[in-house]
Amino acid sequence: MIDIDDVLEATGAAGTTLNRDALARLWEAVGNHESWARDEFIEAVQAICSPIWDGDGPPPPDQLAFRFGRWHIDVAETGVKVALLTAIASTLIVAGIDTDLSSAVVAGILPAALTIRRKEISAGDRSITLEIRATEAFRTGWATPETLYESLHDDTKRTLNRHDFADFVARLRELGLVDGDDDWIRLQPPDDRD
Amino acid sequence: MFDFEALSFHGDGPTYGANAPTGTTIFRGLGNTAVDDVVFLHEAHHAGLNDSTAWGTALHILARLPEPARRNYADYLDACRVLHESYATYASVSLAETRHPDVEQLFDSYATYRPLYEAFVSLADWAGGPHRRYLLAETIATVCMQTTILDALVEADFDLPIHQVRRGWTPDGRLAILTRHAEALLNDACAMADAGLASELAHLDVDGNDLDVAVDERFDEAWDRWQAVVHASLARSFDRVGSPTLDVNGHQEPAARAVSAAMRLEPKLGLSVQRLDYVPTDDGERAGAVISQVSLKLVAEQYEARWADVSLGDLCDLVAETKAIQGEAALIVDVRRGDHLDRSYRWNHADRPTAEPIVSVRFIADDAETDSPVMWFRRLTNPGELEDLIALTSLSLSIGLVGASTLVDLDFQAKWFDAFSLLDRLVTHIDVEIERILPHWASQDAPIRATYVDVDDTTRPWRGIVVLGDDKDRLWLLIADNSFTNLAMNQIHASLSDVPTSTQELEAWSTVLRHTVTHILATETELSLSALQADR
Repeated sequence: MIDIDDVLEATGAAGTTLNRDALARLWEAVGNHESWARDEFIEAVQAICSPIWDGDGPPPPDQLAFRFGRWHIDVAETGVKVALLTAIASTLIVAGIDTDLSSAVVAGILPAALTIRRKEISAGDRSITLEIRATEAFRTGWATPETLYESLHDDTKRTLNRHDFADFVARLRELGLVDGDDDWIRLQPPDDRD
Repeated sequence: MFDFEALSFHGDGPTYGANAPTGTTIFRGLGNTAVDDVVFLHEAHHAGLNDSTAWGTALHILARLPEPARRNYADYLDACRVLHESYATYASVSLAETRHPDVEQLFDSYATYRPLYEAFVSLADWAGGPHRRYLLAETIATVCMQTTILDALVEADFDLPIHQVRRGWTPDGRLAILTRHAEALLNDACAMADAGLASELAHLDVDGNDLDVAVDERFDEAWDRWQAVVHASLARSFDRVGSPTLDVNGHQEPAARAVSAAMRLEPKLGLSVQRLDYVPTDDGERAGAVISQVSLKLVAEQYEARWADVSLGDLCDLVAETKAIQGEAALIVDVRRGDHLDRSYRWNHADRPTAEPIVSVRFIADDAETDSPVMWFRRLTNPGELEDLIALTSLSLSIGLVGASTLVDLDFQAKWFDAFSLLDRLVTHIDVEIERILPHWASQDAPIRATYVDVDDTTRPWRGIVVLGDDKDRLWLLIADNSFTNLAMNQIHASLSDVPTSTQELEAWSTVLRHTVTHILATETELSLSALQADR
């Protein structure tokens, strides 16, 4: 796993607090330039990075509300850096392969199915490249898609359709992430970006 | 016995709204009209989208079913939350922008809605001018919600956890597909719709930028067809990825089946097939459908309510002491349905009123022991008590404030008619859907007169509609906010052919109006048209 501090430094984020604008800038540095991908990234951050709300707080689960306020995350809080990196990687994956799943859902799948590493990072042009491949257990066939699904956290399984997960795994296989050798798949190399 | 305090509004702060299948609630803030308009319109669009689509119908049903089906409700809501919020934000801001050009500044405070708004802007922009963009947004929202979920729910006896539904079949999943392939899908759909109506809309400028012309009702049918073409085009796209789409209004038959099936699980479902089948056909009905679901909260927390055990003589003294406005006091006798009172205040179980109309004099005062405000109701149990009270009071003005919801009880009206006629003035507080009253207004000898009255409140701008008919001693009064009263007035004008205004006639009612409006805003807990809606 890469060090999120490198990412934050490379993208010019100062301090430990990141609001939506800072997250948008972060995404512009590491991701593609599609606005929907940026929105999914921020949605994933909101879902998994323990957002801190001011104003009226988060929307109640049983209502559609129009409420005053905003949220931010604090990467100094335990687990938030890892979650932020997971949100980045999830969105890169969603933007890079054809899947119906959202970044927030893929974030719940990542630890079971994929390993991520930083290939290169450049503070000069504030860009990073992530590489992914299937987890060892998955690649060696030790874990089948079914066992992978069962190994997911209950919160993920509660909303993730089993067939959607199977389709996602199939896409990984098509990309050579499962049956390939030790090669890593590069996501959003800087040279390919606008 | 009573520790009186000055009346004040609670919940000062930013305006916010909340929508659930059982109704829309709005807490108004400190008088920023643009924000109030957006919040009202935002929640109205949530309600409208749920009422007109399959997934929305599913939410209506799941929210009212017992466990285990009920536990799926929040997950189904979550599966359409991004679509709902994006659409409602885009639509409300777009509409409010016509009156408040700088409305987007609200995102400085309501920051979490800016990305949702921008996401839908990027979709709607594939259509041409502002009217087309609004219609495209509405069609996208409808298409995404118009899935085949209802039959699937019926087949599963409503115990269908969301993980058993493919993401591409959920509204947010479908929106993601649309968003990721927006150019290909929306460009084609809009081009097809434009081509189909090229001749009919040729006299509009090419983008429909002249909004006044574009929304003229002469073109309603043409725009309906434009939306139908876009809907069909997007439906075909979803079909290609295995996510079927119902036609516009194609949810009605599945909804009827689903409601019937749900009523086998919960006989008191509180939903009628008629309501779900109901499709507003003109602007008046559309306006009525929206405002009938909205509740404007006057207090953050309902008042505790108690029955006041005081003599009529003491009651007269209390009223004189507490009801003075600018040195004058008036006796106001409230007539409200008991079940509506039960829903509007917090009652001890043993004190809860039953459904029948209740005649009372009410006032707010602190409980001497807890210092918390209590709404006291001195019930008048028979017409004789009302007659005695009128005889006893030294006040020069007595007003009967009669909830329109009580007029359906003809026996009650007959029993109390003579006593009510002893009151100086009668004001009918419109607390039911306006369509229930329209036939009465239409049957008047002379056209009714409907006039806006601005309510000069120091914290929030409320507004009223006053309706006068043949009976010169009776006035109909609706109190709400600007958006609500606009829609109510639209409904009245769309339903009755000739509705003049009459400020001159109102002069004779100015004192009565001042007292009744103040009384309503000070003692009610919400403003709505739901007094006869049992499931609210």
